[in-house]
Amino acid sequence: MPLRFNERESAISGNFLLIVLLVVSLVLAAVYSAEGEGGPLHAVQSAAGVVTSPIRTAGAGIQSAQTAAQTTLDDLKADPNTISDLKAQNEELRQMVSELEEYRQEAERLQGIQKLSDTYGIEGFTCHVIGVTGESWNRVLTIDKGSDDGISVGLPVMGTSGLVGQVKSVTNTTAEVRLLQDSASGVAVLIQSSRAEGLLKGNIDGLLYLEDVSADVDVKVGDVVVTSGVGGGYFRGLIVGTVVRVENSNGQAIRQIVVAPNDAVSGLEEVMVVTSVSAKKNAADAEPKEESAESDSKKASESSEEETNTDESADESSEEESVEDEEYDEEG
Amino acid sequence: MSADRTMLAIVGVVAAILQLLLAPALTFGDAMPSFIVVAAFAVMVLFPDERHYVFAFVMGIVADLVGQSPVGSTAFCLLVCSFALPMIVEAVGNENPFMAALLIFAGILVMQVLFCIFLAVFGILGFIDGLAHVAIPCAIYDAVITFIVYLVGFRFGGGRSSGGSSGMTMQNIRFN
Repeated sequence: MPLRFNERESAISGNFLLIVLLVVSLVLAAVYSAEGEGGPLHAVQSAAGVVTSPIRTAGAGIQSAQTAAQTTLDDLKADPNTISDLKAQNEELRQMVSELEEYRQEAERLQGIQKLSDTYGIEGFTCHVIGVTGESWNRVLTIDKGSDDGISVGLPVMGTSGLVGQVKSVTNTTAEVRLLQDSASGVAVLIQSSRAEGLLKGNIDGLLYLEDVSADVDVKVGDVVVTSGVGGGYFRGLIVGTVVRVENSNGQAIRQIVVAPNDAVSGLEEVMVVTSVSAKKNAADAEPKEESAESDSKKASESSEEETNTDESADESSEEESVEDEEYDEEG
Repeated sequence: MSADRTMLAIVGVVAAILQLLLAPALTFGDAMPSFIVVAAFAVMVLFPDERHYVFAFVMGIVADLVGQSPVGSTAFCLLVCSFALPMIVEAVGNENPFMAALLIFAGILVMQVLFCIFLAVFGILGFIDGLAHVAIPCAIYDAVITFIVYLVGFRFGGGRSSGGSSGMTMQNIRFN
C-alpha cells in the first residue's frame, strides 16, 4: 500500500513537473518571438554563441579537413575517363580564353576606329588586314573587302588614330592599300596651326617628309598635320600625324620636316576605308588643339611636350572637338 | 538515481559538444544530425520506466541556444515526446530492435513535425517546405544515429528492458 501511494505521488509530481516545464517552454518561445532582436532571450542566445565559438571554430576545422579528405578521395577514385575529360575541358577552356582575349583586343581596336569615325564624322567600311607586302620596296597592305563591298581605288584608309594610306587597287573581294610610308605615296596636307599647305611624301626609309612648305611659315615640332583635300585624292580634314623634326639648313629656303604618322603601321589589324567625311566635323577647319600633340605615336609624344599653348578663344565646335580629341588621344 | 543523473549530465555535455564539433561536418544534403535530439531519444528508449523531463527540457534549451531557433521550441517538442514515447515503449517493449527502430523513427518524426509547426507559427519557415526539406530528412538521419546508439547502449551500456511481447530480442542478438 505505501509503495502504491509513493508511486502515485511520484506520478503526480512528474506530471506536475511536465506541465510546468511545458508552460515554461511555451512562455519562453512566445517571449522570444515577441521581444525582437534586442531582447533578453536573444541576448542569451548571442552570448551562448560567443561562449561556444571556440568549439565551433574547431568544428569548422574538422569540416574543412573532412571536405579536403572527401575531395582527395574523389580524386583518387576518379577514373581515367574523368581525368581525360577534365584535361580536354581544360584545354578547351584555355583555347576559349585565348580566343576571348583576341576578341577583346579586336573590340578595343574597333572601338578606336569608331571613335575616330565619330570624332571626324567619317563614314566608311571597317576591314581586316589580311596581308602585308613582304618586301621593303613597297609598303602595301591587303584588306579583306573589295569592289563587291563598295571599295574603289583612291579611297583613303584610316587606322585607329589617323590616316594610314590609300586604296591603290581592288579585286572583287580584296583591296590593296598603299601606305603613307610607301615611296610612291603623296598626300596633300596642311599644318593645322599655320594653315600652311604642303605635300607629305613617303620615303624608302619609312619616314614621312613634308615638302613644299615655304620658309616663311613657322613650323614647330608637335604641329598636327591633316589632309587638305587639295587634288581630290583624300578627303579634307583626315588627321595624318604630327611634326617630329624640323631641320633648317642655313641659307636654304626649303626645310626638311619629318612627320610621324598617328597610326603605327606595324600591328595594324583593322582599318577603315573612308567613303565620306561629314562637313560639320572637319579637323582641317578646326583650330589648333592644345592636347592634340599627345598622340599615340612615340615620336609625337616626345615632341609634344615642347608645344606652346594655342589660342583658347576657339568656337564651340572646336572646343567640342578638343574635348573629343583629348579623350581620343588619351585612349589612343 | 544519482548515478543516473551524473550519467545524464555527461551524456548531455557530450551530445552538445558533438553537436558543435561534428554535426556541420556530417551534413548530408539538407540534413544535419542533431546529437542533442539523438541523446534525448536514446534516453527515452533505453530508460522508458523513468521520465527524464528535466533532461529533455535542458537538452531542448541547449539545442535552441546553439541552433539559433526560438528558445523553448525544441524543449517543448522534446518534453511532449519524453511524455509519450516512454509510455509507448513501456507498453510495446524495447527489446525488439525492429520495434525500437520504428518507435525511434516515429517519435523523432513527431518531434520534427511539432518543431516545424513552431517555426511556421512564428513565421520563420513554411510548414510544407520545412517538412519536405528539413523535418523528414533530419528525422531519418537522427533516427538512424539514435538506433545505433540504442543498440550500443542496450548491449553494452545496460539499458533497461521494459518487457512487452517480443520475438527477436536484444538478448538474442550477438555481436561477434
